[in-house]
Amino acid sequence: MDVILQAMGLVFDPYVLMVIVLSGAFGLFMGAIPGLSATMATALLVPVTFFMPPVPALAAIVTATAMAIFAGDLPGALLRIPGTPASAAYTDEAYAMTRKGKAELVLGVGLSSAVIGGLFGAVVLSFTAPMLAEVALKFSSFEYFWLACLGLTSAAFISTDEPVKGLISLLIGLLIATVGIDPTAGHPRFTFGSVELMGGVNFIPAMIGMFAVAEVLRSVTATSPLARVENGHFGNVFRGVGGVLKRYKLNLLRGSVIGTLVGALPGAGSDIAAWISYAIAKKFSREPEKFGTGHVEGIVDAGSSNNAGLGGTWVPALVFGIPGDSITAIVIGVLYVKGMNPGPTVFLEQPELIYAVFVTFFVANLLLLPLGFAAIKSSTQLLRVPRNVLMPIILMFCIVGTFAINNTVFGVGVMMVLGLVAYVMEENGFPIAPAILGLVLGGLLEDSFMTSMIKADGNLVAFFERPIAAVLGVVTVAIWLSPIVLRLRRKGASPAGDV
Amino acid sequence: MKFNDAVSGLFFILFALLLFYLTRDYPEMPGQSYGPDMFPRLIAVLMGVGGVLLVVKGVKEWSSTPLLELAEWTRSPRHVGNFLAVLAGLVFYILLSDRLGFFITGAVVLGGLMIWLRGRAHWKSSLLIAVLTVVVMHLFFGQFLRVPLPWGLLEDYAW
Repeated sequence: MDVILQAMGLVFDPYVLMVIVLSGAFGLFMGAIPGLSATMATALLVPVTFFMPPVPALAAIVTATAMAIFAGDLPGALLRIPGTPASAAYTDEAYAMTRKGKAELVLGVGLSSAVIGGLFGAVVLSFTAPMLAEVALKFSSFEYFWLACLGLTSAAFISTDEPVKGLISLLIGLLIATVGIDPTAGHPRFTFGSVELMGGVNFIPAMIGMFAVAEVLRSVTATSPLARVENGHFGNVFRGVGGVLKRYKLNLLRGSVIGTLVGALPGAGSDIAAWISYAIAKKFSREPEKFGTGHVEGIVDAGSSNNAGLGGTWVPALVFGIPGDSITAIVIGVLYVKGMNPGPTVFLEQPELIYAVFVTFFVANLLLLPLGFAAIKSSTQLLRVPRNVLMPIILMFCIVGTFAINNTVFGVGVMMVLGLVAYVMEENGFPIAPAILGLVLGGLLEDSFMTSMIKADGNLVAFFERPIAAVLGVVTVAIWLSPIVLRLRRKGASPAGDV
Repeated sequence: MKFNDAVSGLFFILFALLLFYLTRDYPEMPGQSYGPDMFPRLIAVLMGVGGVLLVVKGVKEWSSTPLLELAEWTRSPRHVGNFLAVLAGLVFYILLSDRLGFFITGAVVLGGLMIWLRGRAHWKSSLLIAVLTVVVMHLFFGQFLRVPLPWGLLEDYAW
């Protein structure tokens, strides 16, 4: 109890509250502009949080992402363009409702279910993370090696329909992580004589390049003109929302549970949670024929699911240091920078900081109600911000943010190169998130692998000797082998070969 | 710039070989068969395998997917210019920010990009926004967060 009071003291501090409100407004803005996602909001926030103590730094990220995920609904409902990938699952549905003149209702329901889902995710996070941390205390380098493998594998396999490309993207990230002095022998790797590369590739410029600069490049080369939002005036946003939520209270619960669970899976975040929840809502609905025609039911499910997923993704991130999605991959990088090495020991050593994160989740989701309401009211103006002014400013922000980390333009160069790499990768269907996960987890993976190898004296069987390690290892290897097995079975079923 | 997967695959196979070449003279740890070269080589092997799988996939689609498919924007000089302008802005900043200082470089990059993207007709508002943004960024990062943004030519006027 003491710890919770201490944590509340840390969060309810004027400076932290100011950071929360400002990052909330920033998150709403980023989420509402199509093309600027919650991940990009986090990426741009990191250089600023670099200068903050841990609590406000994490509070800023928690708040901005919670707001951005909701704000993605705004252009979805008004322009039929999802503001963030997490809203994509129900964009058509929301737009159909707007066409029917129910823009207020769909946004009001979206906001309310986002708040409820977010609070649910926060409750689950606050209760399960400390319990899991006690289990995780018994882990050794073998378990960590497998956990890192499992997290990276699911990231590579889930984020794309072509696992090979996910895998290669992951390997690119792992490879970038090996640049610099190696952890066991102290030998410089891939530094090409550059003193600046000896310290390794800092993840902040890399992440800003891959998420933000690549997006700027995509935006300035977009050939189709953007849809313009019609002048609209919103009436009472909350009218009728109570009735909808009451009618679909089970959907609300189901969406929240599924969102949290999917979020907690390594590699899957809010985007996937929303898709799954929407599909389940349709499957179990009493009126599935109404889906796609402007029916609110699926929006309740998916709208609560994507915000609940946010809380879920922090569970493996805080307890094991294994990110649930690209946002928590960035968060893990931030935790290392702040000296709060994620993992079970941080729950023992600095419990007040962990509980402060939980408290922030509640504060942020409650704050979503008034700030989200304001965003809905001003959405027509928000969506009119000219892209040709915004993108150069974002680029400048990337430059200064990157410079601020090491105070050299070397980081700006890294950012530019990786921005181009990410741009070409995405053009060719290689997902970016696995590369960032690889970059963040590469050090841990190699460290725990080398430590385990030295402990086991090079005997690979030792990786399966401890019970938890064995289970994790078998699951991971099974996932690795699953594409091959599936392919063989398909070949056996249809002699004509691949379908 | 979408390549046939066979081309991407070939690239990653060659890249994997390059990684082996680059790690050829890494020192060995005494009494162990694994050292600093182990991890990069493991990555290289997996990357090579991934490359082979991509080549197989690409060859299968050879008839339907061209070797290299340029995106629609590459046929519009305007958009190619936009792409290059962003890169030029970054290179300009990297090369000159130390000498010219943050204010001048930032304003040139920002103003230049905006004038290019929005059209010359709006040059006044573009420049105004650029200068305002640079000043606000300097106040926020330089003053509030104490990032040592370079003063360059304006060193004598530093505050």
